[in-house]
Amino acid sequence: MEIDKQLDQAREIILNKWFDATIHSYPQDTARIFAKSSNRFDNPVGSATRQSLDAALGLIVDSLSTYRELLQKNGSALPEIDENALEEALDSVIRIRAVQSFSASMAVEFVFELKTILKSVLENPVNEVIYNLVDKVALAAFNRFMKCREDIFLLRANEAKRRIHRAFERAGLVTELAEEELSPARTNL
Amino acid sequence: MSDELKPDELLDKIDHTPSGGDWMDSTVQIRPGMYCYAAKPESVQTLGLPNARAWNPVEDDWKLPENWQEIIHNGIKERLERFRTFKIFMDICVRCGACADKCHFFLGTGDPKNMPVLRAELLRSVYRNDFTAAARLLKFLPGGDRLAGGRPMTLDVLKEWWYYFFQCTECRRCSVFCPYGIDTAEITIMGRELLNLLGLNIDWIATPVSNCYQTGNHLGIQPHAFKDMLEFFTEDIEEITGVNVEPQFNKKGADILFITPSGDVFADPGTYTCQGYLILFKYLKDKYGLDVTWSTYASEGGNFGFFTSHETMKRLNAKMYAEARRLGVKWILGGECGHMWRVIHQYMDTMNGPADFLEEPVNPITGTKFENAKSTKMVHITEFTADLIKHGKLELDKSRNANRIMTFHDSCNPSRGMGLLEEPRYVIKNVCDNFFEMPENTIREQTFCCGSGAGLNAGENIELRMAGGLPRANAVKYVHEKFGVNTLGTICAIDRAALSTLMEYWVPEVEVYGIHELVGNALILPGEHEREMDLRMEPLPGKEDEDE
Amino acid sequence: MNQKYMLPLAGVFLLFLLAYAGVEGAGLQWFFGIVIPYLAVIAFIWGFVNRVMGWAASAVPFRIPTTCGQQKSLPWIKQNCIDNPDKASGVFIRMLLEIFLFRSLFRNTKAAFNRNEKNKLTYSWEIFLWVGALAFHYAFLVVIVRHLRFFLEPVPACLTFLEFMDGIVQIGLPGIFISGIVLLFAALFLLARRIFDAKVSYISLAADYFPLFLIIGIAVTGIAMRYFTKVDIVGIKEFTMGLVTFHPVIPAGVGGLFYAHVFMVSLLFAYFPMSKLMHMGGIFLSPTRNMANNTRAKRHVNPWNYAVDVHTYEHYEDHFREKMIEAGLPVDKKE
Repeated sequence: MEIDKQLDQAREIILNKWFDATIHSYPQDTARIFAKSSNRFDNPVGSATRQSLDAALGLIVDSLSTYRELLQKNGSALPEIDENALEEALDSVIRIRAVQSFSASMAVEFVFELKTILKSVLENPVNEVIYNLVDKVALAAFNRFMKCREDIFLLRANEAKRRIHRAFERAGLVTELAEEELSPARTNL
Repeated sequence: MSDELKPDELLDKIDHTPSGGDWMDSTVQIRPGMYCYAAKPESVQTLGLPNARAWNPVEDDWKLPENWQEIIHNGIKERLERFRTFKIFMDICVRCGACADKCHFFLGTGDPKNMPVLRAELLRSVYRNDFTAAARLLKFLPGGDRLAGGRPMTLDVLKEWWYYFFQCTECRRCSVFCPYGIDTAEITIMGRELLNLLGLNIDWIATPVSNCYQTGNHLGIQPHAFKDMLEFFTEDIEEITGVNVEPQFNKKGADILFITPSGDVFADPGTYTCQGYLILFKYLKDKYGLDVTWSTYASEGGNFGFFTSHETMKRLNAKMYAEARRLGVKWILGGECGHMWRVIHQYMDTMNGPADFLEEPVNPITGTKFENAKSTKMVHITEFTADLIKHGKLELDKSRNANRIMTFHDSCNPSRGMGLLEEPRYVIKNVCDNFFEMPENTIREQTFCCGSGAGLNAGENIELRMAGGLPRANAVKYVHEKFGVNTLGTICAIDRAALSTLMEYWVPEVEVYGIHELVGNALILPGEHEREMDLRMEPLPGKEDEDE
Repeated sequence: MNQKYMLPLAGVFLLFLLAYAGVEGAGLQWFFGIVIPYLAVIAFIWGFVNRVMGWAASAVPFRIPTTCGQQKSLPWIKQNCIDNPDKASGVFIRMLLEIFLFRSLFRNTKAAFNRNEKNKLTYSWEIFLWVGALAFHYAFLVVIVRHLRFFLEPVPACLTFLEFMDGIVQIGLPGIFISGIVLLFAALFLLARRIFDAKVSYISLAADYFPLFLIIGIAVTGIAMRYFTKVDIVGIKEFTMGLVTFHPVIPAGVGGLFYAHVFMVSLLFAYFPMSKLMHMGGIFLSPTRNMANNTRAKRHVNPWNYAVDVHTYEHYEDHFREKMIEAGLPVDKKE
């Protein structure tokens, strides 16, 4: 059987394993709660993670089947994956991990777990094509992680701005306030 | 600016390590992005609080007084006698785990010590060691203190307290699910009081407290500047409506004294809510002759003293009644704020009352007696406005809010420390047509905190705030995707600031509005010209083309 | 292996052996049957009263109920009189529901059964905490009440009725009492939860396992006596009546198992006041539940409310007078 169909068939199993591996980057006691398939509002980390992984897996399957079709039609092809769609798919899980004191490597490490899982689940030998795709997922994850980190720095800048009503800027009132007075401690609620 | 992480700090970030084993054994790692900077000595000195000095949480030496363990021990002892809550909550927890996954900080950060039960156990372990019979009996056995679940008060324990008691927003969500009503907020309050005995506050709390004490508000806005700011709003409103809504200040003999958090006067988007108040008061003055005054002395509704100690809370809160008495008003009206209302509703009368110099609050326009506020004599503005709307006393044009697809975030304190649930919803539904509730387990008494309350809305701990706000943002995202919600209504000044940032990160399409901003948009002032803009100076629905 | 539960388990087992061997080997019936129970009851009563008095002696400075519903405000807004009571009657009902139905714990279970994204029914274990806790406590209550027949002569009709209801499923001889079986299984469930649920196991202390093992030990010995070793009920009644009438006797023909049972019950009694088991008394006094949310309507008095330094208006005006006058703000003293 073609590897993409096989992957699609085993998708639920792969997803569950991948989800488990990802969730176990948290402390054991925490992982236990996050892994529960409870209400998505009671367990945002677990549900967002699962949803993200599922979407990424879907993109991999799609990419593999397009690749196979092209290969059958043209005799040669390169595996393609929509990088923007991939980043979007990974956004939920990465956005969360970007604020959880993970180092960059730890934050995206879960992607590489997929290689081991695919090797253990799929009957066909896992080839370079698949490994390449997983690498692409990892790169997209890293991109998104950096984007989220930048967002976080921007957040602070924007928040500092909002702490002064724009009317006062217009009126030149804020010039009275020295830089240090704009530091968070002075501009509190 | 000083609050930015330095690159090497970023590299220092520590990975999650699976804990396993005994939580009492692991030492605390104070992680950048999760903690707030230490209080500056000047701010601690203003109120004469103990051990003012410069110190840094990430350094080993915290510059504690020599006898700090004794201070903590005596501090616990005193509080056990003074607070039945504390004593009972130390004794009766059975560690059933019902609260464990109810805390937004646990759900967001995944740090097991953010489970409410463990946050409390940090203190309880020391209490058991120092104050219980079981520990005294078991001490004679080897390893007996562990059997009794106790541990001695060491520097590591103290650091752990500091780190985790400043990762709790005192939102009380866990307390709703506890079979004995154990309230982690109460334990955090005690924990912070104890820490303050050693001068271990955070600057984001200590400096506002100091400002509030001296100038009357957290921001340290001096009286003339406070007046200037409201006058700027007046100019903006005149531009938008053609009506001069000029407010009155420190006016003796006014009917009502109005107090709101200074964040509304200073920080966006609270400023628009403040403009809403100004429009409402102008309307009531012109139509019904209601005389409302603002005060520059009592110019702060919020009370960061509440996040320091009961005594500090009382010292800051005293200004409200003092000013009401000096001005000779009939009663006090309070603006939209969260912890301010917990303080007013559950503490003020007890601390600084009785308010026998005020009258039992009656709405002079509708004749409604606010029976529920007859002793404290302070009414919440949504109670007041809801009453006006119910009696048809406000002329409202809902269409001006037609582009707002609303949901409402219940702030922790008004929902779990007061029960103000329907009033704001009633107001929203009367000024806006599109209202959708978030899922049931994320609103009302089960509402998720913004992640920045209780003095934690600083810049340096932004990751903690974003992680802690995740459960809330997750629910907003859901209604945004399902119903196209673009506006998050709230009745809390910290929410207005914190949720704006939270939305920017998680659901950027959603804006944050105070309820009285919507009222200000909808209310038709006598003599106003046709409005083209809303209070944010954006074109009103249907006026977009004319603007271009 | 986890010390946190192995030590309490070993402890309970040793205590059982101690009593069993003490009676069977050393003939210390009078010690385990008379001295220990009297001491335990004294420790229980003294400790319990002491603990509750200790709590009661602490002040309640502020009225801080946790509100779980709409407050009483405007007359046309429907108040949630139970979850946000403003009167004693509402508080009373809230406490009843809390004490008899574990209402707050039940709140936990609302999300117990859900449909996930794929519309599959999922559930969480939380509902079983509530069910397990209810089963455990009620079974325990029935067992205790049932045991009163050993201490009362004649046995009141209501007790006989309770026994009849408890034994209504008639299997074997002597008939099965449901309560004992439920108690044992509920305790085992609570224990399993502590050991196997990572989150609960992480927060559990030795002090959480010890009473569970003790109660399991008591239930097992009790069940063993009733259904397997078939102890001499008449002898035991003679013994227990002796205890309550302060004329203790040691009956002949009652073995070590019975004394081990009595010893473990005594331990539970003595241990009770110094442990978390005091939640039984504490729940009545918990200020977040037993107070009405009427703080703004009715002033609550703090017995230790003391005067504090405040920044008065006079100070404030002195400080800012010039600026205030310049800005056109009214001042009290114009100079």
